[in-house]
Amino acid sequence: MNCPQCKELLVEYTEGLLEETQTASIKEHLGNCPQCQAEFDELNALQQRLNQRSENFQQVNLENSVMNRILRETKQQLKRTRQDTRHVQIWRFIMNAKLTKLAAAAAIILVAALLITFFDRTTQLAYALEHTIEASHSVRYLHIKDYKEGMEEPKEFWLEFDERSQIKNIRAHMPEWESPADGEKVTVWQEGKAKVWNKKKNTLVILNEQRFANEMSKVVQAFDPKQAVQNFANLEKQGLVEIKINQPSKKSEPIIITSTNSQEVKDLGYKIDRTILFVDQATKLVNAMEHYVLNNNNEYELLGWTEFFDYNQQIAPEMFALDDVPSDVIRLDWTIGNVGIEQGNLSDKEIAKEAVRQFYEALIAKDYAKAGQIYSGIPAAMIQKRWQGTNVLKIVSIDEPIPHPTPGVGGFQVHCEIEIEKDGVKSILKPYGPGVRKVYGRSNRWNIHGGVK
Amino acid sequence: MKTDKYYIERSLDGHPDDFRHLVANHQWPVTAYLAGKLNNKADAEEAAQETFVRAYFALETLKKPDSFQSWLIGIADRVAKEQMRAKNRFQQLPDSQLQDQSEMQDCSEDYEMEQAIAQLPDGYREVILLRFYAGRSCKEIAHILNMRIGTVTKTLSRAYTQLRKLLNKQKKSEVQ
Repeated sequence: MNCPQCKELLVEYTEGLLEETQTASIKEHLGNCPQCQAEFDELNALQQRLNQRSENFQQVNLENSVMNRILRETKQQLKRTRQDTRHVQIWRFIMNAKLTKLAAAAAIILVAALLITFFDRTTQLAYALEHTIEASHSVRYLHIKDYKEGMEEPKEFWLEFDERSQIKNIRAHMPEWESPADGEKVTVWQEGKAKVWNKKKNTLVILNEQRFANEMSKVVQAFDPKQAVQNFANLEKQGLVEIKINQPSKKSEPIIITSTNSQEVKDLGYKIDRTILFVDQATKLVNAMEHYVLNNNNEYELLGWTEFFDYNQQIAPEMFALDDVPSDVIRLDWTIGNVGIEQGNLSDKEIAKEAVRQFYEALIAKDYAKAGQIYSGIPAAMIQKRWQGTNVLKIVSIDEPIPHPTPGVGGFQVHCEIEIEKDGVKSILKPYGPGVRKVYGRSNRWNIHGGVK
Repeated sequence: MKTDKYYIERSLDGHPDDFRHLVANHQWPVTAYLAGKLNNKADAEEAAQETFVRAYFALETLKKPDSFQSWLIGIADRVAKEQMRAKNRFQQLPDSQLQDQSEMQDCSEDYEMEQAIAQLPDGYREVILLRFYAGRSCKEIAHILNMRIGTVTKTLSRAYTQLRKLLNKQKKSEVQ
């Protein structure tokens, strides 16, 4: 072997890529040629130095920080896209142009898509609503935030679906604005049994009424993207909505589906005139949904929007158990015993009056169990504690029930005058006015929910 | 071994979380390259993070998935330039607002090697970064870059020669 041949093969030699015979002859040449040996030593030194240098960087770990930043920026971009699109949308309508294409300004890739694995499709198909319905069938977990325009805090839902894609478990957070009188509420529904935690009243109501369960899953279905898209597809087949699909060629931008209700649908009393869906191209899952109403100026005005998160991110079972309530919560188990009183043949106003009468009569008779049953089903001991030191003597008068003055409460308010005795002194109690309404989820039972003292 | 191309396609096709693998495979070479440019490891890590985030959002514009690393280095270059510009602006502030210079410079480290690597022609730098900073064998590099193993060793050989020249030049200028 000569020097040029040796030099030619030195790298392969250091990499151990040569055959035995070649390795042997290089070794032999190096032993005899100080020049090539020097060249080899230098190469070795450089490689060693490179190896040492590279060790310096091997503790660098950017995976999580990069992925977290991507997730954060994706969320922001989605928000921007939605805002831009909304702007374009309204502007076009004012210009009286036919809404055909909506330019989504920012490139977006879904929050949801970051967390899931669904399709393995490299070719791009023309989008159809069925794709989203199909994709949604593999969803087992979903987190939803529903915003109302002008309200900071959203309604929030966590859903678990079974193998047949039916809702299996629900956790719902209702903000205070949704029902100011009741305050913030957390509801879970699991295996047909529901628990409602009312933070303001510090009560935990447990119910297993099928009717309540049905009602609750009906509420939640309105937020299930699969149901929403299915609904669109059905209405479109009947010619009741006009659906426009804009599928950008860039796969990172969302497909925008605009569904506008026909006059027939509006005549049915639908509150929403137009819904816009943002669908991720890769997964075909719904990212966000916006609801519009046509105002007097013939403009589509945003009512609210729903955002979908964490597709198939497993939700801990404890979330649906609702055991994370304060230890001093008042437990009201409505699965046992009957809360409130039966309406029978009485009219709504008559039963409201009757509930008030029976409540104070129970207090006169010191039948705290009965009073508690009429009063939201709270335990006898609690009623007794609240009325300690006050003897209820006589019902002086009960007025005609009036619709409850606090919006969102429902039922009636019944003004009355009650004669009581406290510390040996008799007086007339004029309570704020007991509020009487139907027991939640029951059509034929009524109870008092406050205002008795 | 799954190729970059595989993860790039997966990332673009509804599995964005697979981008994680691309970060794992390239974070050391990219950070080393940036350290050579910025002469500071902490800055290099920050710039590398920014590089990967930008790469993620621009992934669709990548024409040749085989040369993902070169493409990343191109982005890294722009990020490094921006960082240096920002730093220059910062240094133009009145002295009172300046931190102690010794605090800003990473004095304990010497990035002579990375600086030399940064000056290599693209093709040479690519194999050096892959071989040492990404710890790939010649066989793996041949697979990644879709070239024959003989081409990899030839390129490495030329890269070594260049690298030695660059390092010698640095030494000389230091002496002067």
